[in-house]
Amino acid sequence: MGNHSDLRTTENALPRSLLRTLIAAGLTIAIAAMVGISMFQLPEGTAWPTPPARETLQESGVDQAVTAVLLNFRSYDTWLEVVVLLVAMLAVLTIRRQHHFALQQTDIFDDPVIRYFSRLVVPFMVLTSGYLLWLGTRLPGGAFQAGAVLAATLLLLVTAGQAKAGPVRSSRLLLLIVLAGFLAFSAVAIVNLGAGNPMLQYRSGREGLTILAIETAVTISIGLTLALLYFTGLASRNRVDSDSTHSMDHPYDPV
Amino acid sequence: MVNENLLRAFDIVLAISLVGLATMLLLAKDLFKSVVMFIVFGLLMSITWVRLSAPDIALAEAAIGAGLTGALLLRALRQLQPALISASEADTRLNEE
Repeated sequence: MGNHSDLRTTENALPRSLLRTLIAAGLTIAIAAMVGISMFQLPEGTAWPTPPARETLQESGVDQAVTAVLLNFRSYDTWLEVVVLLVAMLAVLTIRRQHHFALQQTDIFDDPVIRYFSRLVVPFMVLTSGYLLWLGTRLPGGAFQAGAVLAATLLLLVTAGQAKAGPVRSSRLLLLIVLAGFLAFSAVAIVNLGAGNPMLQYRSGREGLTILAIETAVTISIGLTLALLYFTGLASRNRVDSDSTHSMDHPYDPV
Repeated sequence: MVNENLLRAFDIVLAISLVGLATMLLLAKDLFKSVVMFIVFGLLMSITWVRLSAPDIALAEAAIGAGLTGALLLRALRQLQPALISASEADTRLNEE
């Protein structure tokens, strides 16, 4: 613990860190310059949605150009973005040495105000999440935003001690929900490949329904995954600690 | 319609606050303060996205940039430096009294 305790003084003591800072600063300035230069090279007056997206919008199944691009024209990108989130989850499981998922908080804010507030606000948060998902077909909104609100709801529920989930026994169920978004895209791809179509083509006339189904699965996946990024490892960390003598995970202990 | 000049002034204030806040949060000695400033930065960034007429990115920024990343950073900070947090909590308690 000793060499952990003050990150800031050791940072200044090493001359190598100055070099590192200079390299980081140089790279940052270079990237900022590149972004700045490219900003002046943008074509003047391109209205969104750009012509190709605007012309094919009616065929996409939704009325909102961003959703049409994300879930139809370039759904391959979104499919892989879901995988990026799964890889992040995998990294967290590796770093925190976990073999299973659990929605659990060790130190709950046992506060009447927070408890009352969470009870009041959680139903509306779930409603907002669903509304954002539904709204995504016509106005700005969609799976990612809805998923983020859902994750915030889960965070509030568990930290306020409303969800006495304990270690959720069926971590297989949680795993299934985490994978739901990826599996939804995969199902479409498999059906299409089986029928000899392009991989992510939606059935004509059913585009809107397919998009909404995929988005629902992706929303629930994103919501749970983002919440699990926070909660994974909290429970076992505490269990290990109560066995050992040091108290690194008890911030309220006087040091 | 809202006054054009007023909006431009708002944009300038927003841009200056963003750069100022970014500098402050990078240079802050207290990591806890850095995290709090990062959350504020996310909220201002979300308003910036609205001004750039990208409301969907604004929504994502507010929920993920400000909310969830803030929670994750606070958690990481607590895992790294428990002493630092209790010290800063003692500070705020002293300030409140």
